[in-house]
Amino acid sequence: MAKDKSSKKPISIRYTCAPDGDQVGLSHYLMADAKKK
Amino acid sequence: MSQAISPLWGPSQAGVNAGAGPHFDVLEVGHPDYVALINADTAFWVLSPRAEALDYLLSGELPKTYLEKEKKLAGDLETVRFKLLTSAVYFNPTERCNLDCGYCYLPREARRTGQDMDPARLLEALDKLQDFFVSTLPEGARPQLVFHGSEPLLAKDAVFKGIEQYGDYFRFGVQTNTVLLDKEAIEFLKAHGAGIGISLDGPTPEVADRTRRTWGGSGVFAQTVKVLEELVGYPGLNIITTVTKENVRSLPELVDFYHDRGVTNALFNPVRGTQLGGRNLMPDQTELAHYFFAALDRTFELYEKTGRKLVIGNFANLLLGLVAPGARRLMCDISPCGGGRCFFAVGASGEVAPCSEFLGLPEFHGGNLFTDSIKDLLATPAFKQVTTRMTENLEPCKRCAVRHFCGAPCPAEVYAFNGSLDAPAPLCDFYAAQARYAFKVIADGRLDALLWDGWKDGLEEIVVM
Repeated sequence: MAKDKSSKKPISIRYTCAPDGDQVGLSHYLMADAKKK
Repeated sequence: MSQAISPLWGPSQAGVNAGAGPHFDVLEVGHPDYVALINADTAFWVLSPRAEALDYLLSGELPKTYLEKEKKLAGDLETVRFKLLTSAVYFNPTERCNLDCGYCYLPREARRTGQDMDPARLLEALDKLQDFFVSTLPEGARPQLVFHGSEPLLAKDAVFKGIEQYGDYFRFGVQTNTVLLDKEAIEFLKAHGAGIGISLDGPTPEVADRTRRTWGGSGVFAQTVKVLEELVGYPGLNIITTVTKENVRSLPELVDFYHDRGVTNALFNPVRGTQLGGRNLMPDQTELAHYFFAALDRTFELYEKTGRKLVIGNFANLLLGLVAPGARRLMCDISPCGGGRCFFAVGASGEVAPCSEFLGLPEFHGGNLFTDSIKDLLATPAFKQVTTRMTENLEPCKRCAVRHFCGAPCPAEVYAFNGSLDAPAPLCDFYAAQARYAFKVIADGRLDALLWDGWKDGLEEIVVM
């Protein structure tokens, strides 16, 4: 693993999802939506 | 003469890992340039250049900028963990199955000789479910109802009547082994916009038929592939591969098999050990990690080569758990899991359990759909055991940096192993490895390639660093 000072930038990615009361949370038996809302 | 007071003796909010300061764990992610710095409580993370991780942690910049956004980050996770409305049902219209798969989560005797729900009874059930959701969901919301099994098409008349009568309200799906999915049935489901989930466990009959066989011992690979090829391109197609010790080494080859046929979305679900058959088929965790990640690497290679994605949905969901926890679709890898709070399961006699995995565990049934109030069912002690199971209360999860990217699944499986829900995931090592691999994917710049197109749509970015 590299030990020298790096020129790489830190990476941080985070988005929020505004709750709309209509989010469907499923089990590991996901069903894709054939018919979108 | 006064001396300058060391900042180490001052307020601790801006310093890490003591007092009221934020806590960050350091996680090796197997990348040459990056390590992860993680605040486990809010599922916030930064991939720091490896050589500068200590500087980021101790300079004060990271804790300061983190604290400015902490409330928002915590609120986002709080919403997906505790505030989602129940909006999906897994509905078993029959106990019977025409296959005898080695890992089924339902007891074998029920699958062989169990009962069906007749059409009138099924319509009564849908009516009751609709009343419940109309009273609990926002106006215009359309809950999802997945006919599941056992094999739901053994009760095809009842299922199709339900879809015809309630298709304007529910978003329907059918998870089937394909044996009874003829052209007429496919056309019906397509015409009603129903999701169609099919199960396939390998790229060849030699592999796939090891676990998915009729009661007489014949494989169904050929029939399943025939249906798959008829359905490719249908937006409601979903394929589930259950990963066992019998097929784990074939996962990379299976990626090619699906990609060659134009499949765009599949699940590679490690088998649950809730029932003895599944337990006996669980793969070795190290081997599972190796071939699962090799399969994901292969999807990336094929994407680069062809421009076509094959998204492995359960891993994509974990990636979403890292970059947009509130947008995740699957609720197995977060705690509390979705069982009994985001969805519940209804068995063929009307028994209600937090999840299909619990249908074979009567001590977790909350009551009966036909005789009890759904609202009351969801609040029973049987359900509360599951809906209050949180990783921060479990050993060793409470010390784990990736506890909110794992969720210590699955409570049904954990109960089967331990006789208690207070234990980590039987595949704990695999889930930890999966989180590491996910961070490595991000560090490698492969995030978008392994997620669904448009995953950012409707989301708001929180910029911390």
